[in-house]
Amino acid sequence: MDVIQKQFDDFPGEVYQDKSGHSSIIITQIDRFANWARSNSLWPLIFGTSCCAIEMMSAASAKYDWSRFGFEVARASPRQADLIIVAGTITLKMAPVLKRLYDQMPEPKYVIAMGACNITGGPFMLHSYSVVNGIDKIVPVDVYIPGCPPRPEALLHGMIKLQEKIKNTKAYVIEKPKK
Amino acid sequence: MSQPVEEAIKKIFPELTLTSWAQFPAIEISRDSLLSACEKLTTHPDLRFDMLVCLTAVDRTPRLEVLYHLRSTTHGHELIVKTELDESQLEIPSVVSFWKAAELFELEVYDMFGITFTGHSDLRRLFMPDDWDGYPLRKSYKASEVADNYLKSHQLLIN
Ligand code: SF4
Repeated sequence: MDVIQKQFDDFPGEVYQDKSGHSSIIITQIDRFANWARSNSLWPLIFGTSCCAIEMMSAASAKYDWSRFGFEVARASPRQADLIIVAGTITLKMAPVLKRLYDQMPEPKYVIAMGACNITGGPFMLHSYSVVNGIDKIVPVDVYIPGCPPRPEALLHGMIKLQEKIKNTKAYVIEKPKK
Repeated sequence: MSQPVEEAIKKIFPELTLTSWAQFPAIEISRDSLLSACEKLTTHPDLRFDMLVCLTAVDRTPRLEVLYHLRSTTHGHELIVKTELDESQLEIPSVVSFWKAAELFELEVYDMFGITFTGHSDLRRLFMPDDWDGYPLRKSYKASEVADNYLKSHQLLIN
């Protein structure tokens, strides 16, 4: 069979097509292929608890438009989401809710800690009786985005970093980030 | 500048000293005479404090102060009433019967300072979880320890 190789910049593998254009052959590794599919279609859970959520909404809106990178299907149910962007202060009263949402998400799942509040407690770090000082105490975090609040560009950068991270992991082994 | 409300207070409560705090006149009332004073404050035609703007507390260890910010919508004047409590006996009569607004304010002060309002019909935690330990706005409160214990006791901590 006469085949020609097709060029795709972002596809991890080789694509061949025969002259008629009807049948194609892909040569790739299952890990790379699954990771490519996964990282380009992350479905974020809508979860915003305070001011950082405004920047997250802005990143989703027309001006910054995170669907360019494959994040457009924001879900309201954790059962359908594989990324939780924790945007906003997590108080002790909210901590069980965050934990439950995280537990309800199907594997593989990823967590982005957006903003100073989620990294260390931020402006509420000292002497606060109500704020969790860093959500990595209660859920494993993949990407931290500093800022108070981070700009939408920073959020997009963090999400692209997460995609890179996914592309460099084993697709069928669940690796929890170590603290 | 002496305002009419100050004259009226001096006349109606001759035994109390009238001070001022920020731009507001202020009086200090003991816990035992609080209810009878509130009766006069709300009903006396020269005072008619029919609105409780704010009820809050301040921890000045070893005493705690309860503050009532009152306003009269008929006369347009304002007054601060202060009551001091000793840390060993944090009880004060509820003023819900005079101002309905006190109901939530008193819950908040109870939640944050642990001051019991006798006569309040439903004294409970307002903002903090029911099983919360201690009263967060007290000076003696160790905030970060309690927060960590809370996470631990609810099995939320990872590793
Ligand atoms: S990090 Fe700053 S902007 Fe973000 S939730 Fe906390 S206080 Fe608000």
